[in-house]
Amino acid sequence: MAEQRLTVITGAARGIGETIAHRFVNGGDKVVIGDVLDDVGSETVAAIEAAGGSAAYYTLDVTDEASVNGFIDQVEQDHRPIDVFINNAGIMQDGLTIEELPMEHHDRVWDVDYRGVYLCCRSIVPRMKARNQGVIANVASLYGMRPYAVTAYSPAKTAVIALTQILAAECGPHNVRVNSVSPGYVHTPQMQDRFDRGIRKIEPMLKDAALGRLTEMQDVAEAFWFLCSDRAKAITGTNLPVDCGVLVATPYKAYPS
Amino acid sequence: MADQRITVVTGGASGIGRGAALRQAKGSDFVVIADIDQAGAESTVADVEADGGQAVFRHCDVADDAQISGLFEAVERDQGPIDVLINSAGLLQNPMPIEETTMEDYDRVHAVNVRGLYVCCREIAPRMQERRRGVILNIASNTSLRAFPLTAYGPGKAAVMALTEILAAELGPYYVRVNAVAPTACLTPPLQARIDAGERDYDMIVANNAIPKMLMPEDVAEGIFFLCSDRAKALTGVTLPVDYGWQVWLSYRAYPS
Repeated sequence: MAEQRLTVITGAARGIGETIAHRFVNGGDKVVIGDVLDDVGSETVAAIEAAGGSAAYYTLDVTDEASVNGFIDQVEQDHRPIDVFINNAGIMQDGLTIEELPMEHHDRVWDVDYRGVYLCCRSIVPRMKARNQGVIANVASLYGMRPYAVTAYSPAKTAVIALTQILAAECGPHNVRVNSVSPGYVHTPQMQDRFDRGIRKIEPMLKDAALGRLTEMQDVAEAFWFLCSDRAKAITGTNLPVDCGVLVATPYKAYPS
Repeated sequence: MADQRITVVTGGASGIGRGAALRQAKGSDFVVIADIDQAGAESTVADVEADGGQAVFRHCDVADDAQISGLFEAVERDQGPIDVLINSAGLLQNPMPIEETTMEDYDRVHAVNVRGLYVCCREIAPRMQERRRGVILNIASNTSLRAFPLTAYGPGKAAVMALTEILAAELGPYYVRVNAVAPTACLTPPLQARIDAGERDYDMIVANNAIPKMLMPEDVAEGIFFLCSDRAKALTGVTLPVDYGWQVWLSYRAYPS
């Protein structure tokens, strides 16, 4: 068998990133989690190790260039060259109009959701290029594919998709693949919290999805697992929606009947 | 283990259809190869069996409505309910201006690539809807996404992508998923023949991809296999490019340096 792959996942202390971490560990990878949530992240690693998997936690603030560079240096020094890098760290914005959304909130969203991805790519790309090997996968969003009423988050995710395509072209000659996954209407603990607090309602979301259900975090993790595997060796520069068909059902259902 | 899935592959005698038939059978599906090329189909069946899989050949010209309904009826009578339909039957055209494309050529390409696929979907949809279960996978193309001097083939493949999205919305409430793959130039027998005849240049095709490799039917088959599997149960209405980064490379390298 080949040597164990090393997969780094940012923001994987909890949520979708945590689920991706479990999926990659189950597939046989060693997983490094980089996050600002030290306690939660350490618990996630402990749970993986208790189940017989291999994982490690590092503090990583993707908005801080020194933190990003130091993290990647340290991980490669402590373990091995990073084979797979998953940019998952992200924050959501409140549903406010452009004039209502404070610029501090806008800037914070871009700092984490786009600039953080950019910084991580900027740091990992030269290493992967030099090794002529590597896979980068970004968490984009359904909201990055269509104009949803989140004026900071939606354009930032569109930018992630654009960067994914550009880097796929730039890194292709070096045999490095770059793809993104666009989850939509995912049943995360944060989403459940919004349901519980009455900020979002589940029924209209179920109606929006062609398959009539919310996307599970595991569904997203499976797409990442496939795209980062050698079975997808011919796939680069793509953005794969995992949304139970929200993208297609939205216009379909809007047509007068 | 669950019951063995029954997968029908139109155009399964050669090229991407053959690759898909081999991959699905390796994944333990029972594969029905529907094609007009009996010799090719029997050779694919033999290859499936040599690999320990199960497949049968059934003659079907997708340009003939009656043969399509007859195919599904016969398969479901003899083998059982069809779980997966892979619409791979297709014709290629030579590049030429619209006025030089004969209407006979146009009609033939349309009859197979668009109308044939439409009828296949139209015939399988009620069966899958009634069972609340099923997967349809269409072979789109990079010509679905960008303009080429293929006025018959290109818009036809764009139509396949459009139909994929519409049917995903329409069949989603019945838990039937509909997706597509969009391969770039793939080393199939028609492409090999054009390379042998000096009409296409192997090296130039490879140079058109961000990752400079020739796309092979088995690469496309892996994308198909994932989309048709339960691991992709939240994916419907997507068109997944499998192209070694062809799509992103096209614009990236066109920018002045």
